[in-house]
Amino acid sequence: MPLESAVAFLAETARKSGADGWDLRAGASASEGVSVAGGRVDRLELRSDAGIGVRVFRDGRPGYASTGRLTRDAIGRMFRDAWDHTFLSDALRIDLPSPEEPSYRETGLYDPAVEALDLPRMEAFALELDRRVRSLSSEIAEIPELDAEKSVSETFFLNSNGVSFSRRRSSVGAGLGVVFERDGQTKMGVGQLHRRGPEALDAAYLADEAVARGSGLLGARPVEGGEWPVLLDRRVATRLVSLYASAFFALAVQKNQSRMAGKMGPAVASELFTLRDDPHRDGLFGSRAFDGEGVPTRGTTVLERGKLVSWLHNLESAAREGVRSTGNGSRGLSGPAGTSFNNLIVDAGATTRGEMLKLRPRMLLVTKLEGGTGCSALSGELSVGAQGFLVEGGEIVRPVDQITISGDGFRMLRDVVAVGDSYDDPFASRRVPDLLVSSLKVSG
Amino acid sequence: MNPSVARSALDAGLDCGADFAELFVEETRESNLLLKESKIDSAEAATAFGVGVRLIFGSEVLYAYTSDDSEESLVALARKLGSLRAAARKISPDSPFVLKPAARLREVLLDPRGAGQRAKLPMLQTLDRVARGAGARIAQVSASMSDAVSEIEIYNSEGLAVSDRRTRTRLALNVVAGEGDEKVSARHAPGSTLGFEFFKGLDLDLIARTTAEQALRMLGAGYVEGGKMPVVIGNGFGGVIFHEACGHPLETESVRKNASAFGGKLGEKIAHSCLTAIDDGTLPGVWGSIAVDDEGTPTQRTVLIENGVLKTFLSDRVGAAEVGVPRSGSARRESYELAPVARMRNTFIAPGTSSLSEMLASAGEGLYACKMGGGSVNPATGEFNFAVEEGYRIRGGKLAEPVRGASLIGKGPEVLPLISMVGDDLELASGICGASSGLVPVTVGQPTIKVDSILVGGR
Repeated sequence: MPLESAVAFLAETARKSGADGWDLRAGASASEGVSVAGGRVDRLELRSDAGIGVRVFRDGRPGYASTGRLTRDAIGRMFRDAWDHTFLSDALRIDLPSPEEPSYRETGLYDPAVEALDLPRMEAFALELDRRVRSLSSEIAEIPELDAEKSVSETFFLNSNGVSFSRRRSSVGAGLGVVFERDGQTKMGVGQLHRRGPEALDAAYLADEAVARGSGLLGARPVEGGEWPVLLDRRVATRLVSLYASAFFALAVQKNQSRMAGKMGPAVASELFTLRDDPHRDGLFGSRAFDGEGVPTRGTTVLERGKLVSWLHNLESAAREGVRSTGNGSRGLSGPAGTSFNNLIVDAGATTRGEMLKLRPRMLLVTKLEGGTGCSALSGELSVGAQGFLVEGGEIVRPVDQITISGDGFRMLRDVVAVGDSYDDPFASRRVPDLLVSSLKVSG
Repeated sequence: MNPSVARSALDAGLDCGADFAELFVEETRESNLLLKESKIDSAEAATAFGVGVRLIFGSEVLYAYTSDDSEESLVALARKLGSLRAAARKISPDSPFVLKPAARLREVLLDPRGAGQRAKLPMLQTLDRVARGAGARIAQVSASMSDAVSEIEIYNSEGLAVSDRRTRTRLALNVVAGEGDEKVSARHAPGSTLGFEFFKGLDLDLIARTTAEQALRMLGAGYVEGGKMPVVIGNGFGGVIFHEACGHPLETESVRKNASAFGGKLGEKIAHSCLTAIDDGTLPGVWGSIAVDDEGTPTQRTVLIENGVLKTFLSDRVGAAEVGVPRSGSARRESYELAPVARMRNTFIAPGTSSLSEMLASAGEGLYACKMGGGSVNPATGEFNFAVEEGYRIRGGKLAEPVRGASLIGKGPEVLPLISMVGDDLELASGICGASSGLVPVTVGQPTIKVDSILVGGR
């Protein structure tokens, strides 16, 4: 049955069940994409999918279930599964939200121009991007990844108090990974762009980005180990700050899984460092009027000039402390609500990249991390392979690889001595500028 | 699915000139029970359903999926997909489909769909109680038991029609130890292709106690001094390095895209002669085993490297044709939403003859990475990065103090020849592997091995 009918049928089933409360989420999406490998089309894809899920409460006990089969039988069985689960789970004392006018009106989530963007056009773009990149460098060994995709999705939310909203979003994305080779050494450069509309298919930007990020690392070799001032390129800084961000979720503190527990008030980061969740900036990918639990979103400053001033809450963590949710609940079709930043933003400073490079006589500029598994928000550990550049006297001297940077992720936030003046992607939901950290341990 | 519906959809694809057409029908029912803070945090069930349509023109793959399995919808989807590459019409075989179940590697004794979520509750409580009992510094315990049963059907234009029921069960235990500002965690997550009998056969007391003790040991640990040094890597999950740094480049999906350091090296010596590596999908009951792959090909045991010499690659239909190796029954996908590509199953380094004490003595001064955490690799460049979850310094050829915060970085092809000793204590460990056809269950494994030199990140 159509998604709207499935939502109506599940809501009717839930109303008749005698549950204390419930909320349901449903979604449908359609997407088309092309992959190019080795200079030719490797794959074309058409995808369409739908699903619906419910959280139901009986005597305060939640049960969860979801299904991708939108028939009356499957939805009925799913609701029975969720109901049965309420006999197993422990109570979760939360008040589901009631209807309330949101303070933000969602805008620009859907770009009608995606309707005219068909697969043949994306295919032509992908092949053009492949040709363009190859024309920019004679050191390209291969382009193993090159994709373009568009998608349109629709989501519904409804709860037993009458909160309801739906959202239609479009997204167009393109990305590529280019392998460069010189004297037997290989390096990969990646370019990516996501927008609501076809402007994401910007071959000139993507090609330049991948070439700059990859070929610049050719000829890299390690530097001597020791304590180094490290300038984290804004893309790397965004990744690292995001890896430690869950320490600021109230639920992590309450479940004894955050090193920030007991640190509300004093400075836990550099006074140059202000971290906020801002869900109301038009154009950013994480902007929204309601969170995943139907709570109106609002902006929350987490670190104000280094001082910890607020946790981020979902309904569960807010109820445990007797406060209001900050509108940071996140949920899929099924399962308990988590917490997340809507838009994670570190305020930009006033220092340009050129000025930052001159702030220390010698430093490492890190432009790439090798994975992130050595970084733990729980322990604060930071131990990860890195690549980038040796900088001396404000000038880039040569590329560097086969090194690790190590330290304590929370200590790193304290040791920020300069904050850059711009972001990698003006529309991304995570925005962190360049960060100069006074000291990290480098092994090479 | 009614085989005549499958025939109509496949014919619609061949009508457009596809060289090959395939349908993958899947219904998966998953359930999970999670205990956290000594309470049931969530009980959930999910059903996924859909049909994937794949058309191959030469080596070009066209893929579509839908959750509408009506004949009308599937035929329209196959036509729409085929219209992107209209070519001369192909003829499908006349014989009707007879759906055959795949031969089972091992019978499931207790279908988890019948055992119910409630039966998991006392086992989760045991894990919680025993882990918390390991000491006052145990700060948090979470434990979950999940199961999934997938019913799949695969039809293709060469007349193949095969069905399979895939059952998977997995326990996940995470223990956090804390003191003051310090927190560390330890995890144990065994899985199987058995039914509910897998959970019943586990020694829960032992699992909870050893995981909690690992977290407590690491809580008091210092930090390793970084640098290049000999590293002895523990058995079981230590195999994740081979999986990431060498396994992925041995998949035809990397080789055919010219993104593998091992492309063109069949028959060449790529590793130390003490090293033999195998990918075996046939191990009964093991987490990464499959009776047939996601193209319907029976699975097999594939020797990848024998005494240091590269023997073959892991392949799917497209990869085998492009690279020129036999199909190894390795085509895998997360679900009907993704086209299959060559992926690992149960990948391990074969046992050797060295003992741990011989390897420690040979290392002299170095690191014993007893238990690895996760990691990642760039298959195109071979560069990898792995976290050490439980580590010890090796001093004077003997085990010394525990250390944490270590990571291992390097390049797969450069590390392989440096594996100079292989132990006799092969162990397998369950994991989830992510690549272009999504997340699939795999087993990694190895005996304890010694790598002569590797860059260790530390403080």
